Amino acid sequence: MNAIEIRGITKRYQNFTLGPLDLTLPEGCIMGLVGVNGAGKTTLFRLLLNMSERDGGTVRLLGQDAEGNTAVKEELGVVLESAGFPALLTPREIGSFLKGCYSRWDEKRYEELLARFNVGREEYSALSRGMKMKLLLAAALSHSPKLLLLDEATSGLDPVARQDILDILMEFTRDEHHSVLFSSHIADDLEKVCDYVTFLHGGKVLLSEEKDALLEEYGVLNCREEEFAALPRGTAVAAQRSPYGVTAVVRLKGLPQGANVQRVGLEDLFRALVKEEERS
Amino acid sequence: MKGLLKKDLLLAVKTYKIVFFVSIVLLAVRFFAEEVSVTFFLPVMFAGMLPTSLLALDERDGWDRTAEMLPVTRARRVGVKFLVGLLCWAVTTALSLAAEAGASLVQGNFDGERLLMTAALFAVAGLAFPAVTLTFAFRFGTEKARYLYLLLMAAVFAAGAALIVLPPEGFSFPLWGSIIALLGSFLVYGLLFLLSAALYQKRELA
Repeated sequence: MNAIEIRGITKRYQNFTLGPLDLTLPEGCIMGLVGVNGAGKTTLFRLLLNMSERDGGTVRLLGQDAEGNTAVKEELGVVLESAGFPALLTPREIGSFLKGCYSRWDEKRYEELLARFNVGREEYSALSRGMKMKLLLAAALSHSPKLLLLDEATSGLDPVARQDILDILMEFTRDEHHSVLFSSHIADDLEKVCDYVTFLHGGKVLLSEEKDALLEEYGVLNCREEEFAALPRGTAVAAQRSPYGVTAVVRLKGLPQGANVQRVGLEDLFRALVKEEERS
Repeated sequence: MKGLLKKDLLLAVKTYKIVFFVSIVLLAVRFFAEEVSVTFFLPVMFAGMLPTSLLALDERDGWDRTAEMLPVTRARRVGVKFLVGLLCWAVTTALSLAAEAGASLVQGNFDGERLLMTAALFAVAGLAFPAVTLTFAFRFGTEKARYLYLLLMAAVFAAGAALIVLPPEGFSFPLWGSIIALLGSFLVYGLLFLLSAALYQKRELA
């Protein structure tokens, strides 16, 4: 079963259109969603959660039609960057009312997560941004969800807090029925934990592939200008010139043997693909 | 729904603690006054504002977006606010009427019809009119709804207080008028809940 199946989803705003967009996240996997500001990541999350009415397409979450489906939310753990808990309530009070909202709320698990994340007893408004994110994540994980939807859950956090959250995601997906859709500006985070990567740009999917396959398909080539000029057409995705030569993100297929190629990072690859898209 | 009701009641207690205290003082003042004054109506007015205030807190804190992750329909979320409004109105009205009845009995000028008329005014001012504001808030947000509420309250209290405190010569509000106003307010409240639920369902949350 697929955790997420999006087919032809479309949302039109006055100055921006998302889609039509197809996306599949197999069960048991983590998918990273990368995109610049305004690429449509948050819009996509809003459509998955029925916060916005879509103009077309279908969404299936955990095998169920998501439209108007409130029951499926028992199976979802959600952390949105723009979301928050009531500022005047303490983490304990928040847990006490969430208990009445989810049929499978696990109070012990919630308390354990709060202790593990060192979330204080202060009111929500007094917590730091990192602590707020951890509290949101603790709440998202305390009702045994099968699918986590995280929109910029690590942005603005220090490296230690980010790593804590990534560790939790890795633990979560040890269960083969658990899946995560995780958007972030920080490609490094996605590279650490994701099985699949989707690049969104201008409301369209630039690319959606298994991360390992992607990193095997592309590389960074360092060469002289003449060598670069001799590359087969379509091999170079983007290039940067300096007095020392050319550094280019390239497709490895069709590259001459013995070329000086290094592993490409997701961030470099994303930037290169965006440039290629903008050129075309 | 139980969880959301608990959340709103927790917030109501935290944010309205001082208002509850002021309301009790205002009601106690009735025992020392010979006639009902405008301040006697303030507790019900405060109670009427509570659901919209709670919605404003939700919007400020991003809770309206967080609530989208819950397995609770938007109609239920609207229902919780209307239920909180009804509960607060019922408690405040009961206390206010008890204070009015107690004070007038002590002062020897108890008037049942006048008490019913007060209850009707409370229903109009504390249920029906705030429900108009709440419906407006669910559709357009609480910021815009606040102005509407102030206008409505100014109008209803000016009219209501004038009828009770300064009745025109020979004017007597009919008993059936009070009953219709009372029942009509409940009906309006129910209808506006349905309308709010339908409007909120269509609203795009920022």
